[in-house]
Amino acid sequence: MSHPTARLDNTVHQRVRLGILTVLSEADRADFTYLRDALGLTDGNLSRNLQVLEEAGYVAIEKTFEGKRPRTWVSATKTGEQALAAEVAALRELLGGVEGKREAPRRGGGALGASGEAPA
Amino acid sequence: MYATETAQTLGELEWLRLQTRRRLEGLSFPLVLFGGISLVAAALSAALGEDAQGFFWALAGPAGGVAVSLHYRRRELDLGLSRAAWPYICTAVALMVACFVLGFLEQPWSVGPWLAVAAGYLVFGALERSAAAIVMSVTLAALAVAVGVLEITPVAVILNAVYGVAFIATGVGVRARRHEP
Repeated sequence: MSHPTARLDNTVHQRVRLGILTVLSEADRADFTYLRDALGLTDGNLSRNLQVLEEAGYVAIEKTFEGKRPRTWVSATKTGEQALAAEVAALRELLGGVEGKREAPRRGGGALGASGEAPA
Repeated sequence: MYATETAQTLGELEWLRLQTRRRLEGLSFPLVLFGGISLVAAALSAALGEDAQGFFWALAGPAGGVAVSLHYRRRELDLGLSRAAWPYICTAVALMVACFVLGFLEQPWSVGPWLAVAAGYLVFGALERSAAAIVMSVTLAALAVAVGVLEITPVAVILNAVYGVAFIATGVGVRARRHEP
């Protein structure tokens, strides 16, 4: 069996993208504004990260209109859900290995995306 | 990645997951609505006899279902977050059909519609991952079985009243929990 670090997915591993996929793993779909506010991001930062995830086939983006107002809905694809599950499993295994199988804390603090600038 | 950073990331993901789940919680509205309808049905049964509540539910049940679906739709647009609707719609339709069919049964099986309601809300509770709704459903099912087995009457007055109070209490509790920090 390979070392957990070998199973980390560079596309999903970034903190903002992990956050996006985590929200979408709970909801069927979320709109752009919800994701931006929940993750504490700017429009540009969220757009860049969504583009990376869409190109990898991890999210599907649907643009709709509510009356005359445009709205962007994002949902995770099956591949995206699997990638998130594999990433979280690898992180847990990595942490278990480092900390002698100690369980990860159940709660965290702060906005996940606060420091999560998308790479160029 | 350092262990502390990994632990922090996993903790933040879990926090985000719980926040999203809490925001998605929408069961309080149908619980309070159908709790109120149940109490009206109990009053009707006490005043006009048990048959009256059957006619009342035939009208109030589907009307309540439409109100709930409109509520979920409005909430989805306001919040910008949604769950798939089809499991809820299938459960609601199955629940209404089961109540209609089981409504023709006689004692001790006259509690059949209430067992169907408890089973329906058990599914809704599982869909929303609401422990409170699951516990409420199992408790109400046990109470309905006890009423049927012990042949306690009048069934419709007792069970509509008990279900009404339990639904409203659980709905209010779930809503209060949603607004916890």
